[in-house]
Amino acid sequence: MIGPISLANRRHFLGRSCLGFGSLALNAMLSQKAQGGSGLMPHAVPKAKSVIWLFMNGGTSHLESFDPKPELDKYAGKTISETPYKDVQNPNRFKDLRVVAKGDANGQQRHRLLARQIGFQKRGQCGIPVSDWYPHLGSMIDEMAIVKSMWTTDDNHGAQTQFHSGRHMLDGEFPNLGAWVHYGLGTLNENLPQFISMGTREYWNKRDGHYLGPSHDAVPVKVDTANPLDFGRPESDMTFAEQKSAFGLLDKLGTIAATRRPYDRDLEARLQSYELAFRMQKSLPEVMDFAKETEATRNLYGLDRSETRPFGQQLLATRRLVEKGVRFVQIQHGGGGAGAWDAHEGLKGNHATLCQQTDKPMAGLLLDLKRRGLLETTLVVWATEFGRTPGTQGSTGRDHHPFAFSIWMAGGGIKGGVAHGATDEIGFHAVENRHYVTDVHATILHLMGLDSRKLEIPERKRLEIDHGQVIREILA
Amino acid sequence: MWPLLFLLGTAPPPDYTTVIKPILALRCRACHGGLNQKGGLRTDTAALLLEGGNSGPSLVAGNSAESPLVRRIQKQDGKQRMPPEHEGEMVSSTDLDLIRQWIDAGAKAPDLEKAESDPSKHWAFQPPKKSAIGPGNPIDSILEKARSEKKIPTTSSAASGLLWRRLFIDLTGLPPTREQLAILANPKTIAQTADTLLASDAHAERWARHFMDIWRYSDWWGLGAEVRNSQKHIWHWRDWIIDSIRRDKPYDQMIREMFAADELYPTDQEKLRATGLLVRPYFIFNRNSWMEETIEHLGKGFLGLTLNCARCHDHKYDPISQVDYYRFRAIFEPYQIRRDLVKGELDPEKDAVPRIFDCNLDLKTRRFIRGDEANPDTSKVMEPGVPTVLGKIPFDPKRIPLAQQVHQPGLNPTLVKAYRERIQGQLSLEEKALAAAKITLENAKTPPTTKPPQKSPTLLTKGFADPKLWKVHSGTWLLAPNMATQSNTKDLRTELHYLGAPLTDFELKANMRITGGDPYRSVGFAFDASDANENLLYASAHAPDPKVQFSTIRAGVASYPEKGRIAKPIVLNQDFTLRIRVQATTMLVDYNGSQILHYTLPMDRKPGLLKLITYTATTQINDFELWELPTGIQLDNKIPSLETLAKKVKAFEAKCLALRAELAGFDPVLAAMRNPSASNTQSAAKAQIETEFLTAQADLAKMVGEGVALEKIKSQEKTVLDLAKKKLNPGTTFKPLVGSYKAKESNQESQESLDKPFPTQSSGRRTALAQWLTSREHPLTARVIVNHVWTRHMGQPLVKSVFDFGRKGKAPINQELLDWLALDLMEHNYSLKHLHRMIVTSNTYALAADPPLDHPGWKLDPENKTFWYKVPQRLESESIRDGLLHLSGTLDPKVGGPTLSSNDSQSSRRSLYFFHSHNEDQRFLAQFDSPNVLDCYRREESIVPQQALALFNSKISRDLSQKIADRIAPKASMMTPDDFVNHAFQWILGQPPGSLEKRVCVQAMEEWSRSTPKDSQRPRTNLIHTLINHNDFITLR
Repeated sequence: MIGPISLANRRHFLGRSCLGFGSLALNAMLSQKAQGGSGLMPHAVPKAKSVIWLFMNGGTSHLESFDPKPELDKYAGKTISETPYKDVQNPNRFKDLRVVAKGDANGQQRHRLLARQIGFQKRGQCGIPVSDWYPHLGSMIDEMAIVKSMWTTDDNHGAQTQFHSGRHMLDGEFPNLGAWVHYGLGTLNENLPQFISMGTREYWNKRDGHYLGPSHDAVPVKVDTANPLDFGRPESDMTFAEQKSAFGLLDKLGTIAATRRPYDRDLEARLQSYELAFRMQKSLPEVMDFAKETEATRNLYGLDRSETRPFGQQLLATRRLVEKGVRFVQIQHGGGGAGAWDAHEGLKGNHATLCQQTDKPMAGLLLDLKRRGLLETTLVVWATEFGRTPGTQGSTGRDHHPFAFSIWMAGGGIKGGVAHGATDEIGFHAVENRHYVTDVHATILHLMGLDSRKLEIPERKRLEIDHGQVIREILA
Repeated sequence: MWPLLFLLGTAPPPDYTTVIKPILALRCRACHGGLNQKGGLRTDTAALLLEGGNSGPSLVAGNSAESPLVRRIQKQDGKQRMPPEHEGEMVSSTDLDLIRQWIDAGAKAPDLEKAESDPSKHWAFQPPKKSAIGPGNPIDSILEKARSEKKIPTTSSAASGLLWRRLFIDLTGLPPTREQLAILANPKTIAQTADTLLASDAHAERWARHFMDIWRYSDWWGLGAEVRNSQKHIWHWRDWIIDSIRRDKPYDQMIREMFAADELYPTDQEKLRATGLLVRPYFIFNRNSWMEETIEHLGKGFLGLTLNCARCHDHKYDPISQVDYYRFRAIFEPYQIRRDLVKGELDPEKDAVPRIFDCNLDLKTRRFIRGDEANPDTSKVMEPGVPTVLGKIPFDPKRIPLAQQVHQPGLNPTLVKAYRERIQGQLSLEEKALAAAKITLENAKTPPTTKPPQKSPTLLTKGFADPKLWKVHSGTWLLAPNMATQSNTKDLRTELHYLGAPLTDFELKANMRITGGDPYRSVGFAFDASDANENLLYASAHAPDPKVQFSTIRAGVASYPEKGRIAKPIVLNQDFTLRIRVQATTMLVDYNGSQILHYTLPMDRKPGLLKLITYTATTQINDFELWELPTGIQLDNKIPSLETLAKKVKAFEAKCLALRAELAGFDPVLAAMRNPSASNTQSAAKAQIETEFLTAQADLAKMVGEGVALEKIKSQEKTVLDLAKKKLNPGTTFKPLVGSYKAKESNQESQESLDKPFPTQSSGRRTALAQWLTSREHPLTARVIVNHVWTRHMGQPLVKSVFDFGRKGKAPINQELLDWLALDLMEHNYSLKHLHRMIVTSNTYALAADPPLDHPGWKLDPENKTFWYKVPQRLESESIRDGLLHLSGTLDPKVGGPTLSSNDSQSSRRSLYFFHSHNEDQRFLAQFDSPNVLDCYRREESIVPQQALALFNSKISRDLSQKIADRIAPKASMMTPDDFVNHAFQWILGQPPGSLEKRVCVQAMEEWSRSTPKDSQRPRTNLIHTLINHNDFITLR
């Protein structure tokens, strides 16, 4: 019903929506509909179609997960200055650090070394050692690339924001990686939101799009078949039939208005947004309904045990979302407050519990994706805001440690069974193939066929460090 | 592409104008162009390049290898290279190749290339000028001139229904109701109606929210209970904004109050609220970030300049140096925040006005080399100053002396009265307790001859099944027959109240678990609770210190007796049981089946409410049982000895004595605060030490009465002794009454620094700034605000870069109009209502928003620079919700006051009153681009499916649709669907339906009638519900 639009008018209306950059993805969707094509064009041939982003809030210890340091056991109880490695505390080596809260109780130098709180076994064909707290994940090591030489600059939990946006908290707030991917690629499925978040986001900012606009914020969803998203079903006695006919009437009225104002792109976009909304509220509960999953699959994610069930459900839902073409699923584990992994004391009990909650579900996710042939096009990223100090805080904990930590990636164009980069003998500094957090962003964007330099927004200056460097050594 | 083709010898050299010049502009021009001519070199034209600088020509046409331009770009040494290290991004190798090819091909450029004009001549840095204009509304007259130059006719005027809707929503944020429209039927002009609307509270609220966007209003946020950004009770500033708009306070006066009320009106509590503007950027962790944010947003919001770009180096576009930046910072360097107690409220957590004051008058500002705070230039102090490019407007700070009541705020008579009454209140409580203790002692001396028969306990309630017995007071409590859960983590404290009769002797059992929250994670049971008093037994899963604790609140003051604390390994998500038995002043507590506490309650028990309490915790409580115990039941065999009872009497006597001394010492303290003469301060010090001594003695007596550990008694004895010695030589130091609490300057600030007296002077720097900003000669202040106001009325700014009027910003689409309005505003004493009136009574404002497709304007002026039609605007989130409430007749008109919880889904007050911060947003409003508190010079206007879901599925949409339907046609009304559709369109969309629209609506209503034949109102509700989802409802057209 929508009439032809002259070039001038079209430019005019796109010009108007410049303020609400938000319209870009939707415009992309509309044009996709018009052209029958596939969204915005990526800048290069992509390896991955979707990203699953698993973020451990609070800071997982690299020393008890993927970066074993026997010297810690050897010198346990000694201060760093009593070991051959005292140079690690040379103040010149802390120059990247940017402290938000000076004199905070946390984020301090911890001098007395703490022995490893868990053993490691070589796992898989590659023989990369993995913490005994990850028995299941260890069995998938041949699919995973570990990066052991990450560093960041915030010694406090602002580093959570920093890992998502690439910028230190004191710089202000910037779009998160998921928002850039969403902005750059648009949609694969018109029935579902393309950028989804699960889990509690309490400490760090709740927006993703920032200057890209709110339409690039993640849509928060819950694993709840009845009500997976906010306002996802009528909060009143309106019946489905009534709702459907009201939608129908609305569509007619909108079309009538559009006949009078064929140039009104907002009107057109709004009509489309109602169609999408109507489909979304039907599709999402279906995705969250695991009735058709076999018991074996459900157990693979640990749905049969109370410890693993909450995270397992999120990951099974994630696989189902990715299967349906959702671009980016961002999951926070242990969110709320500073984050559950923040083991300033009792690291052993803390990490044993949290690893157990996540181990089987993550291994299950990788295996399930692989069996279904989805791992090739799905990039799974596991990250945390920083590592933990080799020295002990109190007698049983470790403090925040921005100078070195580990992350891993799998699938979607990543080489499996690789450990890349290294820290020094006590895991203090990343010393070999050092990577700042935006190197992970660059790697993800590269595998998605995007070039961050082509995603610039006029008037919004990006710095060299925002773009990062692709970690080529872990590409398949 | 270029280099390759060039190598093949087939390509022409790169074009100067389209390829080379933009590279030079980006990489060289900031230092070598109109703004700066470092080394005497300019790069803004090819001729100037060739001419070169102090060291000769920078180009050798035809020979790139010999051209200094290329050589300097190629230098390895960062200091030698152009642009130098830290001064700008390097020229990429691709761009360098292009430059080489252009030079090698002869460096050809057009002959008549124009050099950059003098940046200080930039339009926005010159004062506005008024042009001669024709008769009629000046807006129409100026725009008509622009239109006639291009022969663009305007489109027709908007239909009257739409125009009224436009005017009402624009001026008040609320659409007209049928009653309001009926009044309009009696033909009134736009001007008359505008006057009525401009005089309304609704207008003040609507436009207050616009200014709150620009000035970045935000309620406080932090982590848990710690305030890290903004301040509590900053809503006082919001109320000041509303008040100011209602009274049409001149904009220049608003600026003076917001920037410097503490210097200009230091005793006017109403005006001091205005300084919320500078309270807002508070950031506890980093003063530099706080200052940076202050400078950036005052620059953008009031000056329309990106001062922030000059923090690390000179501005790359505007003539603003890095020194200018730090001189501007020096204006704000001394200021800090304090929280003035008001209206006799002594607890600053409950209420206080957060406002600014100059705290550190001698703090020096240093320039940070390359913006690095670790690298200050200590050679020179940055004196306060303003950017000089804006002309020679005086800026002349002079120190301002402050009256005594400003630096001694405790002298405020209301506070003095409140302090005195607080002591009197405590005294009367203690006197009652003393009387009770005496009676208990007397009774114990003559024991009853016969024991009353033991009766058995009565079950009062089990679980939470009876809705009459329970009331959710705060938080998110869900009650099931055998379980209560509390899931709200936003509110610090939540309460579930038991509504049965007050309990004296009772037993309470519960199986509970703490499921989340941070950091204290406390859940418990308060009894004897009233507004200001309670006894509370709680369990806390506070990570470093889990425990069961007894605490009391008396007259609002909480205490946590050492004896009432038992460490227990309570962790999240692990069940435990509590059993509490209370009989008279005896309390027994069992934890997981074993007794952990035998406690003697304070004597002043007064049966009150029983409350389930959480404090920064979520919880799940099941197997709850509450029993009433018969009077006189013997809980244990411990009967206090006569000796113990006598000690208690002594303790209360001592406490009363201390409080009487405090009361007696009150006047000497006041006298010393008013006149700190030697004799006055001596008396005050003496009185305070006397009170301190007696209080310590009372504490000692209490400890002895309670039989606490000997070491503690010993240590208290020493305290008493020390004070006794001090009494001999009281000195002259005393603690004045607190009338204002300083906000922490940083997370590391010491108590000593926090307590330091308020200065008796202010620097006068912000007053000077306010005077500079509001000078009639200032080229930017009026233009910037006129542009903001225009944008909000017209949907399209005159200067598109609303916060950047500098050289990087956009040129005004009609400078004559902008200047005319800016001068007119100043000539009308900065009256914003005058400006509103001028705009809304123009013919341009009344133009239709839907011109026909064949209108020549589409071709002649596609960007609508001449405003030949009215640009439609998406309604702001607040107007969507407020408009629905208004149409349904349920909008609560109360203006101002404390914020509403962002979780409050019941409130029918206007949306600007919800708590709104970086971390918290009301969930319905959040869907519709509610303001970003970090930066909101214009609202986003996104179109996303979640908006459709919110408008279709929210309870508020449905409830209000139903109420609107009831208002249009009450249940019993026989109104035909035809008529109903007519009315509904008028109400919701502001215009009658077309014939086709009417037909499909009537059809839908008939269909709904068939499916719900018994409910005649339902089809009407459904229709309204559909129409509020229409694009034309959430659009202002």
